[in-house]
Amino acid sequence: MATIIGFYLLGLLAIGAGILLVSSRNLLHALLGLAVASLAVAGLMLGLKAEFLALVLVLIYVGAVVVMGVFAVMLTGHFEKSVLPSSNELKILGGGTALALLLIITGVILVQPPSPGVVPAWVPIQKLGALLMTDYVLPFELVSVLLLAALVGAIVIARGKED
Amino acid sequence: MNIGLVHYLVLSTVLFALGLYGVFTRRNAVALLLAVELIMLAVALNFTAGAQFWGKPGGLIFAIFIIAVAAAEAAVGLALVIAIYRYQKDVDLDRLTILRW
Repeated sequence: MATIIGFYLLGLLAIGAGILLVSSRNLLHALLGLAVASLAVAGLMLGLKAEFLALVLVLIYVGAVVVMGVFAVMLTGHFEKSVLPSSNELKILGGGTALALLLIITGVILVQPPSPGVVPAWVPIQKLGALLMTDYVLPFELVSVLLLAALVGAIVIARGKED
Repeated sequence: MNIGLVHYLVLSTVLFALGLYGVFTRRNAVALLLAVELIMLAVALNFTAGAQFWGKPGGLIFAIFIIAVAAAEAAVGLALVIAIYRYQKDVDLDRLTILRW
């Protein structure tokens, strides 16, 4: 019972924060929406018994991405004139496309619901680490290279020309 | 009725569609990047739910990879936003035409 109530509470919180994220005309409110949505999804992951994922999500999304977003808002001068211009004429078209995608995917899921039949169980972190170093070592290295390239690229792009 | 895989799939589809709506309608580059982050969040939740309900920890590994890719994307995207702002004092995507000729 508690898991059902928790799922619906966290799910509604995530959706509400997502609506705030995509519709708020104040960029700081949109950032708050991302932070709250990340925390809600982390709570849902705890409900799925994936505690490492939940902690990593809080660390990276709330701790890094939102802080970087605040930096971007500050550096692009949206603190004083923080109200965005109202959204463009794509509102109906974009909303219709997103809604159509939502209905199609939800319909597919509901018409033929996957029935895996395994109850979620805690996965020890040692097992995740062993998997990262054995079966998934190639994607792990690829992600390492991607992160390194992204960091170097971000520094080079953001620094600009020296003159 | 218990909470099953279908609940998580539908919830992450809703979050994905919300993020897609944001990508379509936002004109500010920072707001658009935040909407992309919401899409990545939905995908990470989807992978986690699938991994846990099928009992295959490989999905958790790929959820970690998705979070790492989202962080890399945020770093590069926000650096680009700052570079564009330095160039034209504005991050309105409708006025961003410097790659056009």
